[in-house]
Amino acid sequence: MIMIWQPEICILVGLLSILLSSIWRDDLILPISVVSVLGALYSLYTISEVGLSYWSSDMLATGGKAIVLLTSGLIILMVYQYLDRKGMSVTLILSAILGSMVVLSSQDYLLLFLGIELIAIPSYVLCSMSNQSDYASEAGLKYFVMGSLSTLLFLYGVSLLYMATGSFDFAAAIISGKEIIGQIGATFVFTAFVFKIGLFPFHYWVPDVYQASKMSLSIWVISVPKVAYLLAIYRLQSYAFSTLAPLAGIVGATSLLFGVLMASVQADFRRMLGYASISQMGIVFLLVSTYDQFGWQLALSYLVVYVFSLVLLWQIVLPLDQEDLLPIQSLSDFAKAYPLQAVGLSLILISMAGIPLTIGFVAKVSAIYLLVQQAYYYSLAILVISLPIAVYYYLGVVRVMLFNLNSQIGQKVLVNYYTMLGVALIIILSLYMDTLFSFSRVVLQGS
Amino acid sequence: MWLNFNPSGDLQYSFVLPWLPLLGSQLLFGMDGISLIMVGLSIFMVTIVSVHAITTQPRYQMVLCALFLMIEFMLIGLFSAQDAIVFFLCYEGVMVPMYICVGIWGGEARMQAAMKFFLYTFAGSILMLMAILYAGIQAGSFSFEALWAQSFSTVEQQLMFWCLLIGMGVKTPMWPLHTWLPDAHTQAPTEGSVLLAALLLKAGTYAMLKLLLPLVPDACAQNALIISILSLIAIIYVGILCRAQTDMKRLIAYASISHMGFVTLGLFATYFLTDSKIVVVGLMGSIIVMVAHAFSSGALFLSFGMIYEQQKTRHIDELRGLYHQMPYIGTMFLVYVFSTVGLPTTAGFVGEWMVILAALSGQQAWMGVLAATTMVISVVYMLGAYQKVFYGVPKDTVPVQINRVHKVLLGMLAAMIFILGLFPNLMVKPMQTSVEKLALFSQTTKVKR
Repeated sequence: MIMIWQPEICILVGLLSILLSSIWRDDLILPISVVSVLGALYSLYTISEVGLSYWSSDMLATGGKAIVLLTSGLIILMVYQYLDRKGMSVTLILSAILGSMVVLSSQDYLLLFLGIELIAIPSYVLCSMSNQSDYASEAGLKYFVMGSLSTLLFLYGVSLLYMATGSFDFAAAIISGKEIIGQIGATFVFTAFVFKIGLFPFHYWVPDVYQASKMSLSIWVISVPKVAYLLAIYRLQSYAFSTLAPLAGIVGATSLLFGVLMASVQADFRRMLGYASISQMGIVFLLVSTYDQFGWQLALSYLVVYVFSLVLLWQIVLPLDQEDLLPIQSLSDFAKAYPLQAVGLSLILISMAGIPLTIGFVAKVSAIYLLVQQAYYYSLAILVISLPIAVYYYLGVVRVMLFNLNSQIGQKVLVNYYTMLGVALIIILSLYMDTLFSFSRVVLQGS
Repeated sequence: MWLNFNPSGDLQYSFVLPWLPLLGSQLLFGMDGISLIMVGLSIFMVTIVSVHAITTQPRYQMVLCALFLMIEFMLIGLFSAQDAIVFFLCYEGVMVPMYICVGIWGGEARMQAAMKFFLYTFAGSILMLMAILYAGIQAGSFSFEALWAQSFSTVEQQLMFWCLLIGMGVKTPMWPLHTWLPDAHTQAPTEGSVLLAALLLKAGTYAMLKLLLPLVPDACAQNALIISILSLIAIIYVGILCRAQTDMKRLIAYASISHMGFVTLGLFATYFLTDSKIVVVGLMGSIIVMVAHAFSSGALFLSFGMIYEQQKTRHIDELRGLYHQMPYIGTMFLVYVFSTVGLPTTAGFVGEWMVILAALSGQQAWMGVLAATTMVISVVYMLGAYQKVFYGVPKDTVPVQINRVHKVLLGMLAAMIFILGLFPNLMVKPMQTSVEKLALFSQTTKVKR
């Protein structure tokens, strides 16, 4: 029985031991966190389904946890050397990982609420933690205030759902089309998710967190929870969200348009990426709005590709974390100092823009394929308008970096072979995207 | 490969790899006659350009040559792809190395030019991608054979036609969509201009040949008049614009647009024909114009690039009497100009003559007459510019030394122009059956009932 909580227990034990050990010595933090993440991954492998009404360990939960743990483990390894207060930061990240695992497994609204808060509260701290910057505090505070509002929306929605159905259980709290109170409750819950993922019109925290928070800390906040929340929406889709497909479509379309329009006028690189992420998540939601198994499969694949690219990108610009802000123009100096890194960064941006020979291209083509297949012509029209704008700002950065290489370039090479391997994977994996599609299908459908 | 080729119209040297079974797309490559010619052209031009780049020693030479190889890789993929998604991948992918090439090695306004080039072509190609996906979903497979066999209703065909045409027309470029080309050409480095004019523009018309005409033949027939008129505007109006240019590279760029008008005219004039033999002549004429234009305009850009290295100006008014300084380039330039204006015995003549022949024998014979007038217009602007640049009182009489390798390169291009002009059968033979097959698909109506 206790076996089904083994992954969570692994992370919890790791978390507590780091919390204790970091009082005396710093050098145990990395080994402990790596061991606990690996242990959790291993126990995912051996897990079996036990019929509990509030907790599921089906393929959706297991696969989602695998994505979360792998990505988070990579992030901890990548950012570790850039962390200031190592013990505290890693503890916060681990507890947020625990939260995502609860979100992925919960079959019950109260447990879901617990998971969401377990992600949110460490995230607030991660975003505002910084030694020098006032901007980081501002971003963290903004995120906190807005996040509290969304928590409120979530609880209010859940209470309305409870009022309509008399149960906190997902399966028992199915609402049919006619119950207006239940509908309103489901909409509120959905809105809370929209906020957490950072979509228009609840996006206010996204650009600030991207721009001002310390990059080594915000990298987890902006990447991994998106996967957990998306899979939670998938789990709720057949229960509470069964009638909300048009809402997902509207949110997706407006996010896409708003994101690209705002990103194209930004002068700060990280703020631009923030708005760009709103637009990328908009595409994911356009795919979700088809409410089709195939659509979900492509949406999850798209999200995984995007999160992978984003984490890599953040890793490359991590050494620039010294200053508060990062204007796009200043990347020109970065490229002169570190030409190899600049080329890698350009490749990632090209992939995000969906230009061929990269995984981003395959993801984009499959997205358009789905929308054409399902005859979502309004969504397609919005894509036609927004994709060239997205190319404009992504390639604008490439332009600033590469096209000014007139004068002498430095030979400083921050050798980080893992990053370069990841950049190479962006191209190589485009040939093997079918594996990712199959993986998404297994996660979502269990076979 | 050329020697082993069997001109039977079937796919040869083909290989298949599964890529995205989920979407029904696979890495499917193969060669028919047309592919063979275009691939040969790509390899030849990229080799010439790479040799030029190695001898002139630009900044970051290795990177530049790597980009050329990437362009070659993409182009070979493009011309031999037999799957629409793979085709699109190469179609869009070839722009990235070109963008970087223009952006890093280009002239003063290179940033804007590169961005304009990329955004125009990218925006067009998204529409094209949607049409391809729609057709593929209907057909259940993305292989060319399956797409050609699939029938669509008239409305579907019309929508797909315009989506595809915008994507391909931007790249070709057709008349109202051409504005990126002069900027890109003027700002690109010599090698970039050569590749852009000789190969990248051909991707658009090759796409029309392989994906537009056989895919939506009825819509093509309905819109043939509009497209032919657009082509004629390109041929004549842009030809007149050439006369007003003071920048030599801009002039050659506009001349390219004018000649690509010939290609589109040849493709769409076939819909006014009744005799299937003449249809083949028209299509084949278009392909030969593509190849001939690749040699002549590529060569023009290359030789003018060499002049620019010496004189550091692109202004026609500032150049005069160059023949005394560089007689070899002067002679070669004249050969390329002759091919551009379509003088008999050069490659330019064969294709244009075939296109005009096809246009004249159709129901709208006035098109052929109008197209033939461009021969005169192009003589006026090309020879006018040649006269200003090469004749007259020289500024400086000291002869300029030209690199021996460069002489060989220019000589090879001139030789190709004459060889294709004198023995067009070299091209006609291998692609005969392939073009006949294409003609069959592009002329058969396939409206779904």
